[in-house]
Amino acid sequence: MKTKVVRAFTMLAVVAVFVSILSACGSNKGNNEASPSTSASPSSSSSVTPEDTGKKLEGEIEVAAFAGGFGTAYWEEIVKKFEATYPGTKVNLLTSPKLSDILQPRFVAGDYPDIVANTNNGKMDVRILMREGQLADLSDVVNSDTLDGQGTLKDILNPEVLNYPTINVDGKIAALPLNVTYQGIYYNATIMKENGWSVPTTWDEFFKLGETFKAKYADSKAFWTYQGMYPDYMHINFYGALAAYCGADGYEAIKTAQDGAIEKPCVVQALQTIENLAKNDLVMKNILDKTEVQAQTDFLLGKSLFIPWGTWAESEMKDVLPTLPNKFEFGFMPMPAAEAGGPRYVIGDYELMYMPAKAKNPELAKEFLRFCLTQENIKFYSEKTTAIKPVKGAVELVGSLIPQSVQNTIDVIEQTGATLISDRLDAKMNGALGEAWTGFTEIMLKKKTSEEVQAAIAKKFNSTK
Amino acid sequence: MLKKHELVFILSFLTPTLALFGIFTLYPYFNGLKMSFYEWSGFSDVTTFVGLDNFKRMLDDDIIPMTLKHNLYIMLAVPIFSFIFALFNAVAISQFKLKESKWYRALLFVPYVLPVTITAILWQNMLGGDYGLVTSILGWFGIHLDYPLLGNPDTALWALCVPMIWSVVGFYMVLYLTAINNIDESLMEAASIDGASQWDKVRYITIPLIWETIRVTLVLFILGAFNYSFALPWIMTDGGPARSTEFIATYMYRVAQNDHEYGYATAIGVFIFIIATGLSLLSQILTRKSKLD
Amino acid sequence: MGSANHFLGRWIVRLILAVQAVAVVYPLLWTIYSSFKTRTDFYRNPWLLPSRIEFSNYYNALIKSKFFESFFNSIYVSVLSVALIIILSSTTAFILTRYKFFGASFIHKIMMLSLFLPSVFALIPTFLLMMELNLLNKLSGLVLVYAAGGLPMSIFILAGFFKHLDTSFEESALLDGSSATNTYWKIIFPIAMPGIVVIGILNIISVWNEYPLAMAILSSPEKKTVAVNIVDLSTIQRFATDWGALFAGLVIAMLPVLIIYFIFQNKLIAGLTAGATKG
Repeated sequence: MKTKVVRAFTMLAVVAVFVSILSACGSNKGNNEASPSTSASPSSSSSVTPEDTGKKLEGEIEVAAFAGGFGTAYWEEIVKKFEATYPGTKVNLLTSPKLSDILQPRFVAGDYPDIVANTNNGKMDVRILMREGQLADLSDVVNSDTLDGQGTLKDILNPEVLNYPTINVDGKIAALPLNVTYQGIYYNATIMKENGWSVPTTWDEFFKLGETFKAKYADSKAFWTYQGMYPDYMHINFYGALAAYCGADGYEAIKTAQDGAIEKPCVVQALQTIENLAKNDLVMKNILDKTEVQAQTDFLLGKSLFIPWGTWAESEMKDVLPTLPNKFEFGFMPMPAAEAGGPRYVIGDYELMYMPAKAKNPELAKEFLRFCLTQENIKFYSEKTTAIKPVKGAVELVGSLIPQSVQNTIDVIEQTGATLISDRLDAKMNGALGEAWTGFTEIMLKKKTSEEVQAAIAKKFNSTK
Repeated sequence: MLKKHELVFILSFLTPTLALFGIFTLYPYFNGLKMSFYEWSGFSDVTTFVGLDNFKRMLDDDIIPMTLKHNLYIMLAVPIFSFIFALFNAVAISQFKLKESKWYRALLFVPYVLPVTITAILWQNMLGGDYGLVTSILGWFGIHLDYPLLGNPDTALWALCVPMIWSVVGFYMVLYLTAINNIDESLMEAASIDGASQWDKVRYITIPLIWETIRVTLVLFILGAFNYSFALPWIMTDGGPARSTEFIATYMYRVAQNDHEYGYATAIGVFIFIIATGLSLLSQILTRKSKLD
Repeated sequence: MGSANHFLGRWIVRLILAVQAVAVVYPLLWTIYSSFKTRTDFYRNPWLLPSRIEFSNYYNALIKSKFFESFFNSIYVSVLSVALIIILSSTTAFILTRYKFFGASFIHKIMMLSLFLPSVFALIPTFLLMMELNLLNKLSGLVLVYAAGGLPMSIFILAGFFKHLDTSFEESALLDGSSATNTYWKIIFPIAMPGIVVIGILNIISVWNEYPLAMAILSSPEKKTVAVNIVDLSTIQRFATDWGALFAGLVIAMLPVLIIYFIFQNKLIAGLTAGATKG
């Protein structure tokens, strides 16, 4: 009879685990989400009075915003500003760091918010949502006038924005950009300056610098580090190398999942930029179990020269920066070119705002989208988040409101004439590149060669529908 | 035959339970499981019926056998080590009658009640490459690692077993202790007088007499290890490095969340359900057998 | 043999047990003292003691991250759902063990089988159901889901207890004309207390720690449970750097479970023992 009770506990253990299954499993694995962080201090907001549009707008909207790296202060205040500007309206705000987890069941159930500002869009792919008819086509909003007489929204946005894969989905405007982030290779400017090194412009120069670096620092500092537990951070330098070696067309073919594109020899060359890091012992030790913050803190502590990262960097680490023993100076470089004078690339990506097709109050929601893109509120956004919207003349408009590292990045992109590429690959290719992230780790462990990783990606690609 | 008042009594007690269970447990599950026959992104109400396609696809998916191999590893390693520790502790506590025994019993049980999130965060730090306590302790013994324990495909799976074992040893220890305490004291005394060594006593008295409990816990171990393979790897290694700690459950969740293939993930879930049910039947068969002995 | 040998064995055994106890206690102590660390402390060697005691971590966790509110939500949900589980599972377990009727074994089997369903699939259907029942974003809705979820395991355990209970009391009570319902609550329920304590504690622990359903069903920040809050906080920590608040949150999340465990651990283990010795 003992067995009965013991068996009961068999069940119990099982249940205990099933109950805990999924608990805390919410790591978000998007390629390049921006970076949440906590504290964001509320500050005084000057009241805006946009031109009277003559429209009578009323009712309620629900805005669901990702509580990410840029905090929630912007959302709390822009909502208040909007309500003050449009008396009689009400904006219900929902913010969460797990926004897609909350929205997912709501979308399935047809319980839509009116506006989603989900920067975490790897999890809820806008393209899938659009193709499934879940999102409103915002073409009319883009073609409508701004609220402050700056022409249409289309006029004020950077021209490449409306061709971006997650914004222009099959000719429809699925989303508006909330902000733009640039991703490339960050370096420790102090180390560079102290040694009088110049920033490498080709991969050859890059690896030559690696030798020089090793000769100088041996094991005391590393040439390269990355967010080891999440190797897909290296897609930043990898995609840049792909574009460099395969050319803009070759990269486009990969991005749009053309057959055979990933099997070209230039893909091996791109993978070799990673393999060489491992081969030449340029990578920091003990990083394969490191999370973003751990790896990035190492970089800020001066333990490595390079790291792949994005313009959210300074905001993401704003709590660490003031507590560092030495002041840190950010340097940014576009990905090196295949050969001297060749084109160099930077990933430009947008965090998005979109409107469900079945939003309850579409007119007011569209007004809210326009409201966020007045000159004053473009500035207000940068003031509250330190991020930047992809509008013409943004740097002049918000200059002092964004971190020095972001201004520097934008300057560098301009000076080097680097080309922006998108890292939003078609689903099929994106899935196949899962093999690349695994492959990076295997390359680091010297268990696989570039050729083998390419073969694994191609195999995955060809076996997917 | 039941009398009428008995029937009323039964129904009055049973109805609320069945209603609650049916509405909030069974109904959602069946609703969920039918998605294995659909293609579904999981974040809209658009679904396409694809029949058995999702199941066919599993046959060609070479990640699944790999994850099952990992599951099998921990189904062997975790039970073996948990068993050795739990039994050793139970025997030690009951035989040596240490005055602090109560403390060991109380403390070793604690990990079992901790939320798995906390266990994961704790052990991520304990096993970490730079400062991890375990790495330092290995260093004292002259073992220096090229890669962090959780950052090396050759060691990550084994390293993950540590928190899994840590979590359950106390629980099994209490079960064994309970069984051992039921053994007639005089048997042990008689054995001591006959000059039996400690090990002999364990081998010839303790183990045979608590065999029934051991047999049941073996099944329990297997199911426990099967289920522990979700939250810990998800938080501690994210299935990596290089998929070396990807288990069937983490893979299923990844398919749903990252690849937006809820239908396929559900099919994998049905497969997990079949394995789990198989293991539960195994447990029932084993326990039934023990009753016949 | 001889006592020297025994003495040595004693100390070896003691050492092995003590090492294990340290392996349990030290990480917990580390969590607690880390919760008092400053930011700079965190990127020194993480095992060092804090350079000074930083209470602001608790302020950040309790007030800014709203742990205070989540704490009361969790207590509310745990108490109500566990009370429901105790009432429903004990009555059902009693019926299933005492009366033979058509469908009894089917009910039993289907409940056991439900234990093996991967909970991930229930998430979205449960959400849809809650929406239909207008229970979204309500703590009471979560209570019902938790209560339903805790039933099968609790019934299973309690059925084991009822099988071994002496039936003579209830029989004599029934003969004295007491109704079956009265007999159950006045006589049987109190006798089953050791088993009830066991399922009570185990359910409190699992309800307290449950995360995915709570996250899906409760959307407003002021309704978060502790488990949701801690996951939110640790998600943020992947990108942000307020480690102190995270550790303070961990302490807040695990303390109630530990306190309940230490208060009831004797009863819990006695409950286990009582059940296992009968038979």
